[in-house]
Amino acid sequence: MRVMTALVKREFLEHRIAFLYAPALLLLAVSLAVLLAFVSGHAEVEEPSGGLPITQKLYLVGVAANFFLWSGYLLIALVFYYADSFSADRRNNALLFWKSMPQSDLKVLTSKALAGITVFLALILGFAVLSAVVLYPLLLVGAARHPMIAVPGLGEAALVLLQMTLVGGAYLVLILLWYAPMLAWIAGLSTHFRRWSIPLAFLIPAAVVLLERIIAISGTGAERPIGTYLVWRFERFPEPVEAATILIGQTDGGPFTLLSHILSNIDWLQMATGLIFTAGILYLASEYRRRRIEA
Amino acid sequence: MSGEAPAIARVRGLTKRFGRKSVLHGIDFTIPAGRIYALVGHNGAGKTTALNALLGLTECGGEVEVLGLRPFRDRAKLMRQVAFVSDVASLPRFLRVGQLFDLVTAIHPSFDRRKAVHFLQGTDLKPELKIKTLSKGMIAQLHLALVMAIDARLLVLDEPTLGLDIIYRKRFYRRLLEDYMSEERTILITTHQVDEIEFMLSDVIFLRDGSIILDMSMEELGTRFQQLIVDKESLAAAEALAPIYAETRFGQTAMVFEGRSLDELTPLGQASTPSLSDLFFALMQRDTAKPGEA
Repeated sequence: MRVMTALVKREFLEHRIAFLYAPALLLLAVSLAVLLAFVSGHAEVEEPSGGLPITQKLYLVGVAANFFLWSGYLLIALVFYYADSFSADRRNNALLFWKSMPQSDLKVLTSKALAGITVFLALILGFAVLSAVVLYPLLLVGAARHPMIAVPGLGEAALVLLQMTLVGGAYLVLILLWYAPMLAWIAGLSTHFRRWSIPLAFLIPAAVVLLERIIAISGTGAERPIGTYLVWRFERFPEPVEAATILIGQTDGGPFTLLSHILSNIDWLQMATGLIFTAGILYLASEYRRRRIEA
Repeated sequence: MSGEAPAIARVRGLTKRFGRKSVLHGIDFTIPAGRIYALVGHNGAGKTTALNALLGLTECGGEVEVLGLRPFRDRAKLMRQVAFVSDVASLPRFLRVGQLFDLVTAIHPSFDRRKAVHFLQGTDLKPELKIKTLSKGMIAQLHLALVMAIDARLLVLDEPTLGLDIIYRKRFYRRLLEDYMSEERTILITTHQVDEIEFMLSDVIFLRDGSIILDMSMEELGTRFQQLIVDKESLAAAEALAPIYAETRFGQTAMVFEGRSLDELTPLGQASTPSLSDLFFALMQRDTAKPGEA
């Protein structure tokens, strides 16, 4: 456990720009921009015809949207992280140093894989919570200038924040576990192709799907199981609009309804299959790394 | 060689191919404990490949056993007792010196942080310094401090002073001898600057084109090979003794002999033991380089 913690910490130290400094800068820049817009009166909020149906739940929806945005950031950052980290030791000439340590290649790569769903996820969750906190005073400033913006009381806002943190945290974990095979696929390719793994990770399945289509079109009567499966895999999680509908559109709607909706829509067998695939890729990547010496 | 000591490494029939090219042609050697071995060879002779086989970094043919383990299969386990410095500056550049020590403390059970800090006393290396800002010499110092703080039975150094100036090189080897070497420890080292490490060696292995052409203790080497700066009038007599190598420089002829006594050679000129680099050069030129086969 001590070794794994140290190795995960090493990942943090190596990639903290993408998961600590950049999000902090982003949050600061967006907060300042919104605040300046409100203070300077440049933010014009027009009430939609038919009124604003979400007035009472504006903060709740704002926090939910905030989690969706941060989950997008996390996924994109992790795509680049996994495209880099599995070959980073070769790139920075440190491969032989790590190999001089009494830790197996499998353990080193496992620590890299775990860093994504532990420390980096926790950091982005932290930023999501922080930006949700920042959202509250911003809404207060906005409400002072635009009476149509309703802001909940501090207690209610804290409850919303707590609930959405729990749901948002669970959502981030689930989305990472669901897309773990995709991230592992990119990481596995990067052990050999380095950052070219990003385009290749999409080009290879695209080529396979194209081939599948050509075979189907040429009248062999073949199905398109790979293409169908991949499309299905990417459509499992609710869209932001769908989530917002759940949060505000039902009488019993709320964060836990959204979580319950997400959980009930997860194909757990597919989740497990994806994780087995991920473990397989991890093992193959470690065997490849075991045989690599040169940078 | 001291045949009594238990073997730290035992290699039999070691082969390695890269595609169609054979790099090691079935070499055999044994490294006992408490010795300082040099593995010397020209570029591409197979030195680094042989070291990599010992360290479990590459899969090879033949039998390799280090500290009773099979290196490629048991690398992680082996590294608890083996430390190595490779020829490339390989410390992780994104860390600070202190962070590096923290990390190694956590992942290496044989690493003693206090020792590492002690080895850095009196140097410019401070815990808060970023490794990427260090000079080549400072990185070498840091790496040496790190490996010397590992309680390893075998230390493998592959061109550890490559690119360093003479001051750093001398300091590096002096430190290694004074602060690290003991009877329980074994050092295996490759370098092109063999003359600089000759004073500390106990044994030497010469590699030529993937084959061992010499595997001998320094004591035996001193009695087995002789160098003669031949007097002009004794050239014919010296040549009659079948030197394994002869070279004329600035009007002076130097010859290297194998298995001749000083009594035989002294009347013909200035006899001495050849330096490692001279002997290496001489043996590289010989058709049959195995001692005794000429």
